[in-house]
Amino acid sequence: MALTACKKEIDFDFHEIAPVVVIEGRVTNEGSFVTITKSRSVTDSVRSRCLPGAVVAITDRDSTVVLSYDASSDSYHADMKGVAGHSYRLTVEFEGQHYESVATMPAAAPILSAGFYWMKMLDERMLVYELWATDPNPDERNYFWFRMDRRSTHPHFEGKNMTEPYRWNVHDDRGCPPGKLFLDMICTSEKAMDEDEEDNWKHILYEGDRITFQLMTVDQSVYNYFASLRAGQGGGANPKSNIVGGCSGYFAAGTVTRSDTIVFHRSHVQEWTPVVYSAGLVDL
Amino acid sequence: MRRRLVLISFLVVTLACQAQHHGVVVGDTLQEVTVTSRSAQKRVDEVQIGVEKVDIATLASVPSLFGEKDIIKSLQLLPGVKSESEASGGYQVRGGTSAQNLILLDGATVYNAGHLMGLFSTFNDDALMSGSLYKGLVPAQLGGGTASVFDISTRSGDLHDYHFGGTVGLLSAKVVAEGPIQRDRSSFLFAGRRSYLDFFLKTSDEYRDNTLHFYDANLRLNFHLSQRDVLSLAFFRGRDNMGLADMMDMEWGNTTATANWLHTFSDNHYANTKLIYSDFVSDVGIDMLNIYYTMKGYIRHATLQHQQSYRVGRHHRFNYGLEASFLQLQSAEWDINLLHQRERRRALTGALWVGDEWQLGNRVELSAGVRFHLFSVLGGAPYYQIDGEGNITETTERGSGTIVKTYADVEPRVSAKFKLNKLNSLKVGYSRTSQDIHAISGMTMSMPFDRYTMTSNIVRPEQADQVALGWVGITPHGDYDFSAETYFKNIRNVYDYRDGKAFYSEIEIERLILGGKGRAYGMELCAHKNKGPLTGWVSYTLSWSENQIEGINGGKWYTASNDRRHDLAVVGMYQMSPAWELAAIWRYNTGQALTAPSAKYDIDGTTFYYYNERNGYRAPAYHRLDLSATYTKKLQKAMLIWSFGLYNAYCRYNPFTIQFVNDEDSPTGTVVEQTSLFGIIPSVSFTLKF
Repeated sequence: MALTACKKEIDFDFHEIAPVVVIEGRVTNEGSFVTITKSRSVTDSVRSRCLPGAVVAITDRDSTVVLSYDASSDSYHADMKGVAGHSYRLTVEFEGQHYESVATMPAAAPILSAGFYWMKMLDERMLVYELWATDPNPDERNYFWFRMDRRSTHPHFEGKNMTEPYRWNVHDDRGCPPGKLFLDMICTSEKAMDEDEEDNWKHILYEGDRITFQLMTVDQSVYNYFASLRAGQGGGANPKSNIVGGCSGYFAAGTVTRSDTIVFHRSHVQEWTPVVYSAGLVDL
Repeated sequence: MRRRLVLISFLVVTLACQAQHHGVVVGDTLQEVTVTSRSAQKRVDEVQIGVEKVDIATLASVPSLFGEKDIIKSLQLLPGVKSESEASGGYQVRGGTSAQNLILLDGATVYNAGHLMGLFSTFNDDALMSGSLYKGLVPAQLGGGTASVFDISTRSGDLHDYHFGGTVGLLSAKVVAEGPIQRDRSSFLFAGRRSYLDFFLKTSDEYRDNTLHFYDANLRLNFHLSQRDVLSLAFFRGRDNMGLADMMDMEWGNTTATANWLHTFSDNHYANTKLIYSDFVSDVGIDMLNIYYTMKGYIRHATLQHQQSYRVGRHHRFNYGLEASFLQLQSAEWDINLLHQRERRRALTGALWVGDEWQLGNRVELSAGVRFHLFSVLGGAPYYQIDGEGNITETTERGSGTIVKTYADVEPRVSAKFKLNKLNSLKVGYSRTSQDIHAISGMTMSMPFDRYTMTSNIVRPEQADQVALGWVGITPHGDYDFSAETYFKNIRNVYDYRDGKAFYSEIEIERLILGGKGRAYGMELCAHKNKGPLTGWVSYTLSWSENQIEGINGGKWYTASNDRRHDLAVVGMYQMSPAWELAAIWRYNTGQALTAPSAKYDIDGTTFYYYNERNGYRAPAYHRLDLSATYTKKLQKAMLIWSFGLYNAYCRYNPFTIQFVNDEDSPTGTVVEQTSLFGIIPSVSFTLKF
């Protein structure tokens, strides 16, 4: 005779649909790749691998580079490194269909500082990752995507598939001080770290975890894709792809900057104090 | 969400207590308010099709969640009215969303009428006299909600004697006091309620940093200034404060004040002049998108209304009037890091109406009227033109005294009753209604931090056309009465968030929304047993609800989120003895429309779900049994009432939310998680009244 709210797994009959083509493409200062996969049934646990047989090309102004299928990197790959300010056109011919997209590559946002802090929020201490970078284009609204990865040797993660990022999201520069970008990413609470419950393991950072972080400046169409991808999962809507042709996915041209790898030690985490930047000066 | 559910279960464990008392309705009934006993004969005689009169005394005998008597929850037992979700205070009428309901308390508009995220409503039954729910077919003197208008009146204090009552429970405490200010000339009524759950929370380590309290207070003053003049003043204030450490901090509530001067020219002619003020505020501090920020919104109305009712001969009763309101709406004010943004708009709105209740011979009664509705968007704030993608293409800024745009429309309201014989009548009706304040809810339940927007240069007024046909019948001695009604409704300019947008995406709300249309149709059946020790009713609704919004589902018609095919409520009250009364409710509805994925795919190492059809699935069916037993003992000058209740008596875990979650340990990689809000909840309460 339980009085409390409860959660339980239920059986569910999913409707089946014909697989949908999903294209992920990136042109960055570090190289370019495109993956082509298909959606799978909700009850199929095997992750998709990149499908061969497509003709994939990226055009920059007058030159076109054809990307070749590379099984070892599970993608279509080319050494082509993107240049800030250029617009790139992606074309894909796959199974008789034509897909196309254009993305413009913004300039880099060099990272000024990044680290973990304890921040007091509503009477709890939260572990926060704070990052400061230079806004490449202070007079306009800028968009960026970021991803934090964590490599852990903690027994909790033994045998687990770690392809998912620790955190990712897209952001814009609203509310940042002029000329700067900043980000406060809330990782977890001190209390959750102390209690170490299984539901929270994927949020808790453990001693010795290697944390890498990359920031990529993107254009508005890519920002809209990722923002709607995230928001749509809760609301049951598909994201707005910036690729024309009837597939899911996105094509991004962006400049990547990376912060130094941090080996996480709880004792190294400082108390957060406000960082004050005045326009034009860099005080750290 | 999980945290909140755990918190609610904690407060449940502390044993909710409440009082149930048989409201003693005393005091003069003012001429503008018809005595509303939901008696069988009144149901049959009513000319207006599509109206449900709610009787506070009946409401008191029906079992309820936590034992809290709730006029809004009791509405959901009536045909055509559905609950929004288990905990939500919103209700849905004839395929409409809860944002399309207008709730009036003594004429003042009340928004988000729920305490504790809607576990129960902000209306204290001690202060209420009656309520009339118009299910979309509304007489000409009311306007502002396309799906329904719920017109609630507070009661006035006893002009002759003093009465006091008190209720003490673990969930909340209530007091009520009424009596003459000057015997036979003026009276007061005060009803107040406050929760003190937070005192219990402070004793628990885990919940010590959580705040959870609400209060509401009603005050009504009545003055018989002369033989012909009555002045009544009504005040209401309700507030909720909820803070869940490390998640959010919310405060919201309504304040209303109404002054009503009733002047009686003669037995056949009277006038009401009202001055009304209402203020709904919501103040939310949330952490979202890794940034902590606060959001404040408000909606304020200041209204002057004058109406007259004039009976001419035996066949006509005319009703005419006008009203003018000044509206201020702040859809949001927030701080994102160093950026402070705010969107605030003002408008003038007015209406003129004329109607007649016309008795044509012995068999036909007609209620016909027309309402002329005006809305003027005022300058003093930026207005935009927006392209297909939601980007601003043009901004206009006009001075605060100027009118940016005016909308005017004519809304006919007709309802007719054909008496087939003494025991049977047919009813038919048509109404056009419109609405200028639109709550945009990004989720399936309305929340206090829904953003609101007002009709503007580009947001058109929402408008609905409804047509209904019905039959009512009663047995010769009134033992049983029956009704059947069918309706069809068309709605234009319904707004919802674009895919992928939420209330925080931009300060300019018009960039985030898309307009479309909806339609709803269905049938409602109801049977009442009115006499004998066992009384009650059975109500059944069969309904469809669809939307068509460009940009969603490929621009095609799709099942609306609030579509739910069958709804059944069985209510029974058994007077076992003079002291003991038993009651039971059984509810059953077939699955709520549900959007579920049909495939999944990988992006950048993470698996995401693909949604092929909006609302293409159904949640499992919902059913629940509630029981209560009330013991009343009359003492010399007082009355003692003990009430025992059991909510969800056979402990069915009904679906509250259903989520699709990646799980590596599952053979399919996905688990479908159903969260249920309530198991079985007992309640005990005690009341003392003088």
